[in-house]
Amino acid sequence: MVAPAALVAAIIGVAGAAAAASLAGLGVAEAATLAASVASLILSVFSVVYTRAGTPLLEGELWVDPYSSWMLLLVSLVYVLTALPSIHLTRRGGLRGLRGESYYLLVNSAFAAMFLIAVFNDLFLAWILLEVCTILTVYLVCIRGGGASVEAAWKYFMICAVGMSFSLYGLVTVYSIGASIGVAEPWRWTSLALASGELAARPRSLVAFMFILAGFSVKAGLFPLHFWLPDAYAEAPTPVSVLLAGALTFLPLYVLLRISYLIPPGSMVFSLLLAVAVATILYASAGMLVTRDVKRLLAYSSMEHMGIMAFMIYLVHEGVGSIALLAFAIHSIGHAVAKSAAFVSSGLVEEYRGSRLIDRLAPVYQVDWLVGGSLVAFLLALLGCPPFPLFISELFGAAACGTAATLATYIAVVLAAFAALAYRMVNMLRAHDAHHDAADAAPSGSCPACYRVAVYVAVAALVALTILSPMVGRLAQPLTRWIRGW
Amino acid sequence: MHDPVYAAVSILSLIMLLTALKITTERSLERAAKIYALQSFMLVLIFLLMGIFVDHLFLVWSVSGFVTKTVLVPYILIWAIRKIGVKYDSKPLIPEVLEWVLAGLCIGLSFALAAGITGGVSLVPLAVSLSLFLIGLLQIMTRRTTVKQILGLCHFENSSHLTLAFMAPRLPETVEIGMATDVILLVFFGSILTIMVYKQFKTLDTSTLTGLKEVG
Repeated sequence: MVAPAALVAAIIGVAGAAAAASLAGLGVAEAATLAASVASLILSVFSVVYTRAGTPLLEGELWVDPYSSWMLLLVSLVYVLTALPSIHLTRRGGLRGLRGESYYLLVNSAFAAMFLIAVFNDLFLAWILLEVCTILTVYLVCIRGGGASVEAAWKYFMICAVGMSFSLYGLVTVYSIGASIGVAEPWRWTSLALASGELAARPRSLVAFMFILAGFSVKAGLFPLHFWLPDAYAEAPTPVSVLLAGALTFLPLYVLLRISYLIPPGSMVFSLLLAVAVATILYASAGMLVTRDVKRLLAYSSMEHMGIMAFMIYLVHEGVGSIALLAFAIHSIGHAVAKSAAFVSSGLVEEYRGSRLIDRLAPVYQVDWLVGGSLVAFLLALLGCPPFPLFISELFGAAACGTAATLATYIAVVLAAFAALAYRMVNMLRAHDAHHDAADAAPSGSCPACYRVAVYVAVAALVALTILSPMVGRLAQPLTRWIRGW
Repeated sequence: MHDPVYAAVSILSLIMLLTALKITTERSLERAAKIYALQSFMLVLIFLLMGIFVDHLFLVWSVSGFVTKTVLVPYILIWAIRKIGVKYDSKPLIPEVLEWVLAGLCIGLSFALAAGITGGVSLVPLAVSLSLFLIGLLQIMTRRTTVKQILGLCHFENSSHLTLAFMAPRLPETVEIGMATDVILLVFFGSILTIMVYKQFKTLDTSTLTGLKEVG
């Protein structure tokens, strides 16, 4: 038996050590990042296996339970899928010398912070870490320079900073209500979750939760303050798009899932969350139909999946909670792997064709059998086709709907998103009239080994998740259950 | 809180509010950054008073606030402004008179909300904190230069700090350290971005950043 506390400390420690090693030269930074990502993946697998109860760490500042271990696994998978294409970016993408080293310093620091968010218990600590991750990744979005990436970075910086300020106000209000009703440590999720009934009885709590929802929605790219997301994902270098799409945009939703346990069922906050989720999925579907850029297509697909996961948070409290929790867990990790891998493949397709326009990529399988084929496979995974994990999670999502009206809404929005992405995928497969010359169609080089390995890792992870996900029954337990044993 | 201390804190809070209005309408970017230093210094004095008379924990807040917000944040901003050589703010998106009217509405709304929340206790500092938040938001929406928008975010930071002091005074030191780190990172990377925006577009006017429109 391995102590979960030791595993968590080791996971955060290796990412921190890699961040420190990043300053010792580009070669060391590459090796340290890759080694740290693989080590964190192995350790997080152990953490998922051995964490069977809730355990406080650092005098209760952090909290490890089976669900947070699952989130550690999610972040570590994205870490590996970011580290591999990063080697190509720094070697051939022009990030040499100090810029390359600062790239690795920021990437590793962001992952260390994201591991901490996965095991947060202090709500303010989670807020600070999300804010710091945003600020660190802003520079990563525009690290290669260029007008478009600087513009995308500015929008990302400003909109997310404003959003996060709203959530801080909400958290301060929750703290003050908690203190006024005598909660011992009202900044801790575990303390507040046990007093959720008294907390909800105070009228001010509704305003606080609205502020929190507004702030974290912005950070998760939910409608209507989502417009930073397609720009930032599309203009960032491929590994940074992987980091953002795979983990960082999702983590505010995970924090929101935990905070949702402080909100009483039937609250107006959940109705608003449902409305935001539905609007996000429909807007993203329209975006997928309109866009001609493959990275923007993947960004809108991320918005859609964030919307589906927000819908699942609603179902945790207003539907069949246990099934919805399992659906959220499987969906989040399935999306993280499939989306990260799709960005890796699309980045390479872009390099081959010298364009991100979908019309110029078609037929995508001609680019390179591995790169083009894997992009199609990862898009199928994102569509929720069987047997991929997103098929299982979307099915569980439907099963978690408590009423016929909710089920009808869920099916309608999921089908709308499916139709939009499927249409664009068919566009990519169809042989267009040759409006690009033969030189464009021919691959301009071989697939770099690091990309090839990233694709293999993603495929292996998807296969493993497909087989293992439905077996992780522990994740169907209400999150507050793990506190009561403490 | 003792009455004289509360009175002093209220006066310092009101000075913070005046500086916020001045920062929003100030044309010179460097002067706006210096007025922000004054605003932060008022916040530091509030923490110092509370540290002496209410709870010694606030002494730590006043030291970290002085180092980060009164010294480092304005220093970084002024460094960026001098590096790019842009001295003045662009024309606001709405007429300045309308901006004043909206700022007045923000202040009125904040006092009404604070009265509802506190029931009279700590009314002025809380109302000022809400006002700073709303004026920061107004500044981000109406002012077009990146420096003014970063200063809008700094208003949020000061507002949150003031709110934390009155509504969440016994938070662990980790939160205070985190907030201090956050504001430095925010302004440092914001300033780097400002320099990058200027290098790319030869202006700090964010209304010119319209290249990323959906194609199709």
